[in-house]
Amino acid sequence: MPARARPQRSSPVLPSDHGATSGEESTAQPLISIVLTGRNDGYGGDFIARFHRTLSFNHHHLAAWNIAHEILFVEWAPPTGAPYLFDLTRRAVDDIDWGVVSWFIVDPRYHAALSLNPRLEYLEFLAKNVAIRRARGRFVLTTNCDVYLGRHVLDVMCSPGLQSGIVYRAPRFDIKFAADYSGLDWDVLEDPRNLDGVPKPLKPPFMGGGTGDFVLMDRASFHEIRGFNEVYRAARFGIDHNVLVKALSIGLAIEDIGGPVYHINHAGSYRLTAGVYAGREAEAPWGNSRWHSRGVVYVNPDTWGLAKAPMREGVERCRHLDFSWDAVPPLVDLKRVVLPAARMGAPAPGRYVSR
Amino acid sequence: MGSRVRRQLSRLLEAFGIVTLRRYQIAIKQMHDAESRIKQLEREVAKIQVRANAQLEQHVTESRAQAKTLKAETAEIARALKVKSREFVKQSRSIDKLRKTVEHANRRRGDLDGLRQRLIVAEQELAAARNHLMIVEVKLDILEGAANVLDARTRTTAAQQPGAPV
Repeated sequence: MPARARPQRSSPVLPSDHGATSGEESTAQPLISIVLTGRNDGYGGDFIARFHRTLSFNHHHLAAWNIAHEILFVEWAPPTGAPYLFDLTRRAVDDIDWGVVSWFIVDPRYHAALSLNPRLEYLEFLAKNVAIRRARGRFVLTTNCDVYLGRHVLDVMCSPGLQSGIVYRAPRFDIKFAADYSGLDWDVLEDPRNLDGVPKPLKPPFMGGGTGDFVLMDRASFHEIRGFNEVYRAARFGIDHNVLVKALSIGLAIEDIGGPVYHINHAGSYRLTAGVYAGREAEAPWGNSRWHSRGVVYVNPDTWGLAKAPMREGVERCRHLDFSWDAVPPLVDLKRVVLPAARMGAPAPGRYVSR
Repeated sequence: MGSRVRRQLSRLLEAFGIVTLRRYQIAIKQMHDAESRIKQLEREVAKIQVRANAQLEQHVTESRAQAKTLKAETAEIARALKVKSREFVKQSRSIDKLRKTVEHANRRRGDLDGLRQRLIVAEQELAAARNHLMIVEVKLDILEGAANVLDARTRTTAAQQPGAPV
C-alpha cells in the first residue's frame, strides 16, 4: 500500500510537557484518557486491521455510553521506510471523531537510546508513559490496540463510580483466533463458545494477569507513581505487573472493575508464543520474563514520559517527539531501583516473588 | 352369834391354818387355774422358743450366706485392690517419669523460646537478604544491559573510524 508522504519536519517546536491543541481539539477536560501504542510493523500479522476495528468499536461505544474521552496514541519508533500508522489510520478510519484523538510519533532513536536489551523490539510501557504524561482526562486507561472494552466496564466508566486512589483492573477474556472478525459485535464477544479457554480470575492483592490490557486510575495517581517503570529497560514482560506493585506500595488500592475486556488471539501474541522461548527466555523479544517484577519497584526520574523531548506539531494534530539527548534518562541509574514499602494488609516486600 | 363373832372365829382358825371349806375350794380352784395358766404359758413359751429357735436358725443361715458372699466379695475386692495397687504404683512411676519429662520440657521450653526468637530474627534477615539479592539481581540486569548497549555502540563507532579493521 503506497504511503502518504510523512509530514515535513518544519513545524515549530512546541512545549514538550503538554501538547498544544489544534483548532479541532476539544478543550473540555475528558473523563477518560485512553492510552494506546503501536506502529506499522505487521505485529501479529494483521495488526492494522485489528487495531482499526478495535478503535472504531471502542470509540463508538464510549460515545454511545456518553463517556467524554480522548484517545492518545503513541506511535513508538516507527520503522524506517514504512508509512506511518497515523496516516494509514487517518485514511482508513473515517467513522470516528478525530477531535478526540491525539497522536504522538516518537523518533526511533529514543528506542535505541533507551533500550537495555537489543532483543527488545518495542518499549511498550515507555511509549505508554509518553501519553500518560500528556493525558488530560480525570482518569487514564492504558490498554492495547486489540482490546475491546466490555459493557460492564463502560457502565462503570459512565457512572460516577470511579474513584481516585484506586487502580481498576479488568480480567481479559481471550477470544478464539478467527479469520474474519470484521462484523464483530457484542454477540460475538459475549458468546462463551468463542472463549479461548477459561478466563483467569483476578486475584488479590495485585489483581494481575493481562495487566497491560487494562490499567485504569485517576491521572493524579498515575502521575504520582510516574507511570510505568522507566528504570528497568531490559524487559517488556512484567513491567505492567510492576506498576501494580508500585501502586500498592504507595498506598493505592487495586480493585477488579467487575467486568471483562476482550482480546482476540492472533499470531505472535504472548499467550500463543510464550512456549517458543521456553528455556531461553533471555532471547525472547519481550526480554527476561523471570526478572523480579514483583519484588522491586522504581522511582522514575522527573523527566519520565520523555517530558523533555521537543514536540513538533505535524499535520492533522499529529505530534512528533523529536530526538534530544536531553530527554533521555541515564543509561544506568541504580539508585532508582528500590524495594516496595510494606503496608498494612499488603504483602511484605519480597513475599510475592515467584520462586 | 353374830357375824362379828364369826369373823373373829375365822381369824383364829386361820391363825392355826384352818380355813373354811368354801375358801378351801376357792383356793384349790385358784391353784388349778394357776397351774392351768402356767401350763398354757409353758406351751406358749415353748412355742415361742421353737419359733425363736427357727428364726435364729434362719438368721444364722442367712448370716452365714451373707458372710460367705461378703467374704467372696471381700476377696474379689482385695484382689482388685491388689491389682489397682500395682497399677497405682505403676502410674505413680509414670507420673514421676512424666513429671520429670515436663520439668525437662519446661527447661527446654526456655531454650525453645530463645530458638524461636532466633528463628524470627533469622527469617527477617533472610527476607532482607533476599530482598537485597533481588535488588542486586535487577541492578545487575541493568548493568549487563548497559554494558551490552555500550559495547555495541563502541563497536559501531570504532568500525566507522578510518583505518578500522574490516
